[in-house]
Amino acid sequence: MLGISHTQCGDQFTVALNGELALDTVEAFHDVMDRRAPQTEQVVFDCAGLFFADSTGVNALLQAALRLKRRGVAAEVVNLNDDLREMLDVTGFFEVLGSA
Amino acid sequence: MGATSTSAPWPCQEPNAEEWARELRFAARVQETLLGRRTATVPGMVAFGQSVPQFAVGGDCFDLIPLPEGGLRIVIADIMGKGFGAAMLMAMFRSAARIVSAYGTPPGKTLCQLNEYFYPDLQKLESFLTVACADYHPDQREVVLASAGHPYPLLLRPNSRHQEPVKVRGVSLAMLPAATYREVCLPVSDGDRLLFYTDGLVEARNAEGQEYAIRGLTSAFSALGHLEAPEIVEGLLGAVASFTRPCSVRDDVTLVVTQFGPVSEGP
Repeated sequence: MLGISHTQCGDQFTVALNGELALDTVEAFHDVMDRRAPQTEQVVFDCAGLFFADSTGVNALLQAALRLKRRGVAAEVVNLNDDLREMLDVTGFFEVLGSA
Repeated sequence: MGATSTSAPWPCQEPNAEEWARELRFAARVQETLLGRRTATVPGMVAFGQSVPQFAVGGDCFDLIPLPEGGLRIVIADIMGKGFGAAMLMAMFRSAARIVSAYGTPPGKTLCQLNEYFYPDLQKLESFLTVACADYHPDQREVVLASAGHPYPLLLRPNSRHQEPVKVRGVSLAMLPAATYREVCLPVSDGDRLLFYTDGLVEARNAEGQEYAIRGLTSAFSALGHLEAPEIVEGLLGAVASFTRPCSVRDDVTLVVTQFGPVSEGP
């Protein structure tokens, strides 16, 4: 299950992810990013409540962040737990995001 | 259902249930015959691998490729997603890896070349894959490893209950148009065991939602590490099955174990 909520504060749009970002839950994430994310200067993906992500989920997060960056929007992924941070680090997630 | 080509210049017929079932059986046979279980032996090392897809076919693969100058290459890969689409891409990858390996290209450069080759296509699909590539050289008694975002292999020395993750890193394949992959050189000795795996193994969940996790894997590997490579693989798969029972594993799972022994005779 994926719980997803979003808030806007000034120029920052925050997407809070809770639960699992995986093959069977990414549609809800795509829905928020494709239809509800406003034109803004910064998007923050708050992963404080995220405890699992498979390769599909990791890719969804990465592609969303890369699309934002290509549009000139600052994208940041924050509050990952240690296991998820390590997993994303090993896959090169942060290296790719940093080079975009 | 939209399973037929939208670009064909003639009317396409949707397969019926029997046709789909026949296609599925053939796909499963291809998967099992070419990608299921395999062993390879070179002086000083025996390798055994097994791949278990979640569905009839999957997005994991492994290969054991003899090197031109002697020795053996282990390749293990995991493409984003599962099922038929992932399996098609993985079949492409397996062939490309074999072709590059035939030239004796070292692991780091192999990953560079594969990355350049696959980036244009996988970018269109917004997909990527993780790969570990390891060459065992009998003369030097060492394993040279490179990784594209793959989980760290685990090294178990004899008479040790603790494993060392072999921390070799690199960006996943097809995430960047160009990438460099550094190599790690690992000396090996008689009795060592090296385990490669895909993340489906550690992400397996039981009915309570608990993950098998790296802790489960290292505990089982320690208990089984004195056995021969095929028995270790069988034991680890059995351990995960016991952990998740009565649930099934939700992802493709692939394991390769290499065991090292005296070069002058088989291990």
